[in-house]
Amino acid sequence: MLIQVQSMTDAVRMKRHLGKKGIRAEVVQSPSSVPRAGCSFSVRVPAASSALAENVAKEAGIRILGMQGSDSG
Amino acid sequence: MIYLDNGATSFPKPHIVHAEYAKCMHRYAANAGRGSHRLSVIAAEKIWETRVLLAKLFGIATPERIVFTQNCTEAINTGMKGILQSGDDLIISDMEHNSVYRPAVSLAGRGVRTLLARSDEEGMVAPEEVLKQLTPRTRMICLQHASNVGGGINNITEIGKIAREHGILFMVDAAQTAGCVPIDVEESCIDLLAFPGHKGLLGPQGTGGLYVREGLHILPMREGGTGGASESPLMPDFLPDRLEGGTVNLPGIAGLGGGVRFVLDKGPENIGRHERRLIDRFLKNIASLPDVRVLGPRDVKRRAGVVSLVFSERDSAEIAGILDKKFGIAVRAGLHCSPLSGARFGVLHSGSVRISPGVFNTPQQLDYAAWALSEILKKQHK
Repeated sequence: MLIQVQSMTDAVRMKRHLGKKGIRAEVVQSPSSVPRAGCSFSVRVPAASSALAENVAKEAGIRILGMQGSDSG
Repeated sequence: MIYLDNGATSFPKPHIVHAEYAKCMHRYAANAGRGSHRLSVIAAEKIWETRVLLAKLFGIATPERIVFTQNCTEAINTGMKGILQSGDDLIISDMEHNSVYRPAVSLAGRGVRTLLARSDEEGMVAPEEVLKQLTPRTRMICLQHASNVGGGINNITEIGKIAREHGILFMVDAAQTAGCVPIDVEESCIDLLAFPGHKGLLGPQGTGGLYVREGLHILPMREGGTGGASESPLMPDFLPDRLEGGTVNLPGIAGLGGGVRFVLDKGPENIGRHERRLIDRFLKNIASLPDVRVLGPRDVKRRAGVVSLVFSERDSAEIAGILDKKFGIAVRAGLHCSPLSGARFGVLHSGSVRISPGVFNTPQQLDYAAWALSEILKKQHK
C-alpha cells in the first residue's frame, strides 16, 4: 500500500510513527501512477496496516494526499 | 588562546558536533528530499531528528514548524518581512541588534512604522515600556531576549502575555539566550522564535532557525525547489517546505543536532548558571580597577553570558588588540552590531569591550583575563 504525503518531512514523520508501533515502512518516490506524482513522496506500508497508518497520520497531523495499491512491499 | 567571544559564535564546539558533522560528510551527505534513495532518506531523517531536539528544547509541540535558516538574522528577516505589511506598526526596543533594527528600518520603505520601547539605564526593557508603544495598528512586537551588549535578560514572558492579550504577534530574538537560558514558547506566548545555531546551541556556523506558531502564514523570502509538490508554480503552503526553498545545510544541521543534544544533556539552565558564575567572578576581580564602566545589569542573575566594559581613557579596540596579541585572549570590541544600544549606553563613540564566556571556559581563564586587564590599565596609570 502506498500512502502519498505532501513532503519528505511528512514521509519521515510517518515512517517514524509507524516504526514506534512496530510497523516497518519505507519512504519511496511516488510512482507516476499516483496523481500529481511530480517529485512527491509516499510511504509504503503492508496493506494490512493501512488503516493503522491512516490513524497514525491523523493523530500526528500528517496530511494524506492519496492511497494506492495493495502491495505490502 | 583563551576564547571569550562566545557572544559572536561559540568556540570550541563539543566533540559530538564535530562527530555528527564529519559523519554526515563521510556517510550520507546526499540531498534530503530530492529523491528517495536511501542516502536521501537518511539525510531527511537526520534533519527531522534535529527539528525534534530543538522542539524539545523550546517546548514546541510541532517540530515541523521549525524552519532552518542560515542564521538568526535570516530568521528575523523572514518573520518580519514575511508578515508585516503597509499600515502595520512594529514595536522593537532601543537596545536591538542590527538584525532587528535594520530590517525594521528597511520596512519603513514598505509603509511599516517602527516604534521604540525605551530601556532603562541597565538596558532592560520593562513590559510597561512596551505597553506604552501599543497602537491600534500594532501588528508585531519583536524583542531581543537578552542584549548582546549589556547582557540583560528581558522578561519575555510578561511581554508575551501583553502581546497575546492584545492579539499582537510576538517574535523573540534569542541570539544570546538559546541554549543557555530556558525558553518555552507556550509559557512565554511566543509566536515566532528566531535563534542562531552556532552560538549557545553550539552548532556549526551557517545554522539557525525560526519557529512559526501554528496558523501563521509567512510569505517566503525566497522561492525555489522544495523536493515535493514540484508541479505547482507556487511555494507549498505548508511548513517547513514553504520557507526552506533550495538545498538546506545538511552537515550544519547534523552538527547542530549534536550541539542541541549536548545542551539538553547539560541543561540550558546549568549552562547559563556556569556562564553567570564566570562573569560574577570576573566582575569581582575587576571591581577595583580604575576608570572601568560595566554596562548592563548590576545583578548578575539578570544577565546572559555577556558583559561589556567601557574605559574612560582607552579605546576599546586598543584594549581588545592588546588582550589578543599580548595575552592571547579573544574578545570583541566596538559597537557589536548594535548602534542602538551603543547610543542608549552613551558609548557610540568609544564602543565597548565585550567578554562573553561559554560552556567550556573555566574560572581560571576568567581570572587570567581580569589580571590581564589590570596589567593593561596599570601601565596606563604609571
